[in-house]
Amino acid sequence: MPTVSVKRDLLFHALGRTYTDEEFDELCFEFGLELDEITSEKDIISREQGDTKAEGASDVILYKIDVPANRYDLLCLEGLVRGLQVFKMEAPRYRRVSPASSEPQRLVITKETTAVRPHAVAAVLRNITFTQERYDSFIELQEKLHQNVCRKRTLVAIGTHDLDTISGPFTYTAKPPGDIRFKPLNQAKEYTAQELMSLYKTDSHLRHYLHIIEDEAVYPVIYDSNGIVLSMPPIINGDHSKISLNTKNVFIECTATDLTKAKIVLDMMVTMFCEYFCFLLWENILEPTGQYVHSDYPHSICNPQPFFGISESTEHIAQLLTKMCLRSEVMSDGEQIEVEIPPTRSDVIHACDIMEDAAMAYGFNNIPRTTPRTYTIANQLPLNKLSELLRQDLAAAGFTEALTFALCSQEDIADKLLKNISETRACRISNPKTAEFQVARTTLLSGLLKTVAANRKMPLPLRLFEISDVVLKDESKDVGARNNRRLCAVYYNKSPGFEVIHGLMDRVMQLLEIKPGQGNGYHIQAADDSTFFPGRCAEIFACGKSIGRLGVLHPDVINRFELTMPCSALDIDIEHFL
Amino acid sequence: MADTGLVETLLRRVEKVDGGLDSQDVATSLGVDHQAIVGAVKSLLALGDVISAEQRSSKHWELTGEGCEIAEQGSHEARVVSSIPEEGMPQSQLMKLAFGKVGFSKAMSNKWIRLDKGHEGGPRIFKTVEHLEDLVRDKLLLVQKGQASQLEEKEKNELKKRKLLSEVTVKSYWITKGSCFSTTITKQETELTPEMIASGSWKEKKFKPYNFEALGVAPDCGHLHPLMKVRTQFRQIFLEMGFTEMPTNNFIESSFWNFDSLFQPQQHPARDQHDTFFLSDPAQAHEFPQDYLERVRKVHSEGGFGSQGYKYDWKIEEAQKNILRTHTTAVSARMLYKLAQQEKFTPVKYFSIDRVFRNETLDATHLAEFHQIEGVVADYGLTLGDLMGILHQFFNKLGITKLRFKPAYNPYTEPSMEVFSYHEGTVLLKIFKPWHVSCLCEMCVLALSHSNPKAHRRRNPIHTEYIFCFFLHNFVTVLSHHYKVKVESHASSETQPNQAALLLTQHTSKPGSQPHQCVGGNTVHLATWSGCTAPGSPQESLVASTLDNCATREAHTEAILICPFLLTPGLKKWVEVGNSGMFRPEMLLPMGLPEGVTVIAWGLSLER
Repeated sequence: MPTVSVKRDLLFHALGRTYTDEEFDELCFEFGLELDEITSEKDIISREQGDTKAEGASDVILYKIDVPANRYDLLCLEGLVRGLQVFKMEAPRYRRVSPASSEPQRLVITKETTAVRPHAVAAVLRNITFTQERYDSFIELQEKLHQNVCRKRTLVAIGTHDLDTISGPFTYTAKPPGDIRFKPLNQAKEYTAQELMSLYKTDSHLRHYLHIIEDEAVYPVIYDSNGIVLSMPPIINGDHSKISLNTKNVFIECTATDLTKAKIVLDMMVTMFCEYFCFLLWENILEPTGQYVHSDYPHSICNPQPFFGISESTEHIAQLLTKMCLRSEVMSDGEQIEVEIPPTRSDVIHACDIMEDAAMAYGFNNIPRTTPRTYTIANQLPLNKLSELLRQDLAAAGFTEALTFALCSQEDIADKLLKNISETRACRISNPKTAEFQVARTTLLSGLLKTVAANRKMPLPLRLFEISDVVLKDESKDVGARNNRRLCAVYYNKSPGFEVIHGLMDRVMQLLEIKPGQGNGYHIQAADDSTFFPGRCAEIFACGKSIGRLGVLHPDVINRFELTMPCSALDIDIEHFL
Repeated sequence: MADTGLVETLLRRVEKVDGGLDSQDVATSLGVDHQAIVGAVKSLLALGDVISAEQRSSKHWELTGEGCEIAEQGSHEARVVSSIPEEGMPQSQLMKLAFGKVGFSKAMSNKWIRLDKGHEGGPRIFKTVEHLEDLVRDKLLLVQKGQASQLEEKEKNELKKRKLLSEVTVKSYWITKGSCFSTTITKQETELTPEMIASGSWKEKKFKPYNFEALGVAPDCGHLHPLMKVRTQFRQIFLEMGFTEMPTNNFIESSFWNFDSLFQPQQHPARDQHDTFFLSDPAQAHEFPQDYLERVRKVHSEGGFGSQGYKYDWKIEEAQKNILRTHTTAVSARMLYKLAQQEKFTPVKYFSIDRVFRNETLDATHLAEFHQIEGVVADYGLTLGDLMGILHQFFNKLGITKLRFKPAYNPYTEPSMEVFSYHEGTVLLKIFKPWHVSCLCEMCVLALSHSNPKAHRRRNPIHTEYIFCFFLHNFVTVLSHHYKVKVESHASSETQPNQAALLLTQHTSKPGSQPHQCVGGNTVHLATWSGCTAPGSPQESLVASTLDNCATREAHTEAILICPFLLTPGLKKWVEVGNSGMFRPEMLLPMGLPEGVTVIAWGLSLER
């Protein structure tokens, strides 16, 4: 969840009233936001860098508010206010306007861009007046959008420019890095694109974005009609066209690998700030974002009541939606509502999104709770039922249940058990953060032995078991792997206790109603297994099938798990008994 | 039983005196070892009120081995003098004597002897006194006779420095007559025997009283893992509510079923390498229902089914990538798809409790795998009110009665709600009652979910993790099968509660630890904090001041199984307990479920 920090007093001023912290927290809860922290710049600095550094820092109270990941329109003060004012404010209507005196601006996209960053959309905000706060908020919003919907500029990058320093039509193209040369934002001299990439290698902020285009043959670049570089997206703007507090007309460009997201981002940049700027001019340039993607998007909803579980009149629901900035009218049939989705609400893509807003306006907690009349008969999964029954009886047989990780290192299931990894059929993880999670386990034994090692100080003997899944590669499954339910037990004591673990196996068979003997019964016969001490391992057969092994562990296995006592183990596949 | 003769002698002595007597004196006068008297006293005490004995301790001086030798044979210096003949003796010869070295220097400083260095045949020693007073020996003899009090402290300390004397503490009993005093004693039987029952002799016998303060012998039995016990209880609740168990025995899942089928876009952050375990072998899934896959592609990239879609270039390559499932909702998706393939739709209620995986580095607040609990209901015309109603019933069975809902965002449910429950005070959940109630009562649990935002913020909302911290309060006996841990008090040092935890889980403090590995253990976040209050009413101060700063640490104790639910006295707070929502039509309709069928679902995590 993104966090937005706003000055409390500014927020209250914009909301037109003050709240106590508790009241505001409650308001947030109802709206699905979370008042995460109440702090100040001074607090933050003193916490991060110590009290001395914090001296002189502002102690204006800041609210840090968590907003849902899909509500890009709540990422700045302006949007939050509009959102939270639901209960009193009339939804603003956004209109696209053409400049009175001149032709609309144009952005020409050349085909070279397809190789690197194929999409661009742009708009112009005209006749605006920045104050310091608005300016800060404008910059902050860009940054928030970059971090969230833009996925750290990979999907979309935003550039804002002082329109009066440049002249259209603009060209979005792509060129070899050596051919791009301009003075970047806040630098004193001109650099080529190559030089810039090495310059920003050490920049704490920009270095994170270099990888997006670094290895491309051509870099994206935007020029004005006089050949002035506006920006080299997604890295840096030119210094020439930078905006300031005195900027009157802002040219906004969004370059992207995802056109839908570019439009959403441009819509946000424009709509969030238009309320300050009475003579908004929003021009479409080439890519027609300004069609008000959503504005003439009526939604018909048949009979919204069943959704809620309450009977509210259609009129009332329309009113609720209007309060949520979704201008709504009941249609002539009296049952359907026509809803106008403003460009700020890119999250609304289906009727269900509208209904959620209605439910929020009504208050989730005001909806009566009902019990569904759905009649069903419950069934247990046979495999889990079997596991549950066996667990109880193994505990009654004096063994203690352990719970171990399903992921482990390759060493755990191979080297430490004196096995070759290639014979384990293990599934491998490509991106583990630590060596602890290289593979999915193919046996429960290593987890149990680690558990023994962690409990060496406990009185002997240690008797442990686990019934759980291992994962094996299996070509016959759609994903190429399957789980396998195993029962594993270990006995750790001064003597190996083969007879104890053997006795446990006999008990398991007795519980499963399998009698000793060949054919339909069970029996064990000597087997070779590198994990076990030579001559002390047997294979278990039940109903003619091999179901697992038991035996005394090899001393090298015991050593590799940092154990010191003899240990016997039982490992069987219980899926045979379903 | 101590020697009967000694016991009776002792009783007679006690009878003769009026006030009482000291066991040490009795030992001296009888000429027996003091320990024998102590044994006699203890066996008399065990008979009831025959005598009463009060323990005393006194200090007295005793000769060391060397001291005894001196008391017997004289001090080293005196022996030096007496061993020198009139004509003197060579120094080298003197030094060969056992007492030579020490005695020589002492005798020199006492001026009892003189050394002629220039004597022919080497240095020679001569006596200078004929009679001497061996003060050291005299003093030691005084001590030996028990008259140490006649010596001055200074003298005693000097002898102590020479290691001739030592001060010893003697414990003795002051023995007086008890209310049932008698000089004759009857032997008491300890246990009933088969012979006594057969002969009836038990009727005449007196039996030794039991010590009911002692602990019994621990039964020799196995145990179920506490977390698994909780799982069983949850399973039971679902079964009682008519829910059928889903087959979740497939840890490896394709991105298609884990994400795409749930209408989770391919650029969604949850699909990043940072959050999800991808597989390199088997790297890809190779089999999908083709027509369904096509409908999924369409709804993502173009929209349809009443939706505008996400309008991006949906790639089959992304969907094929195998992962370790990040939620059991992947299984719900498979089940709902299967349901949609039925000829005629039938309403269903499904549940599952199984492992899910997140690409995390293990630390105090993160596990790479945990158990997700999920419930799903599909029927015609289910409403938001139904979802809240069924959640109410579900949590009611856990003993949580007050719920409220907060709007939330989740890519595959709309609306999505976080479920909050109000922690009233100390409430023991019904399902935990069978176990270890005594320790649960002593224990309080603090929900940290609000004070450690970083830990849960980035999670997928369907199972936002809860971080609970434990606080072992006062004398808590953590009753685990193998463990008996006593925590005296948490307060004074930061390490103390930890020690308790670490007794069980030393391995957790090491990198690469395995929190699940403790026998019968469970993962818990035991908080350690400074500035705790004294035992009594620590909760308020903890809540108020220390949660933000407390370092959390994992521990494994049986007691933690209460973690998600045991409610702290004083924690009157709404705490998030789960997530819920109605599946989006973009997820259900491409599967082929009929229009009008709604699916409600909720999830929570077993351990967090």
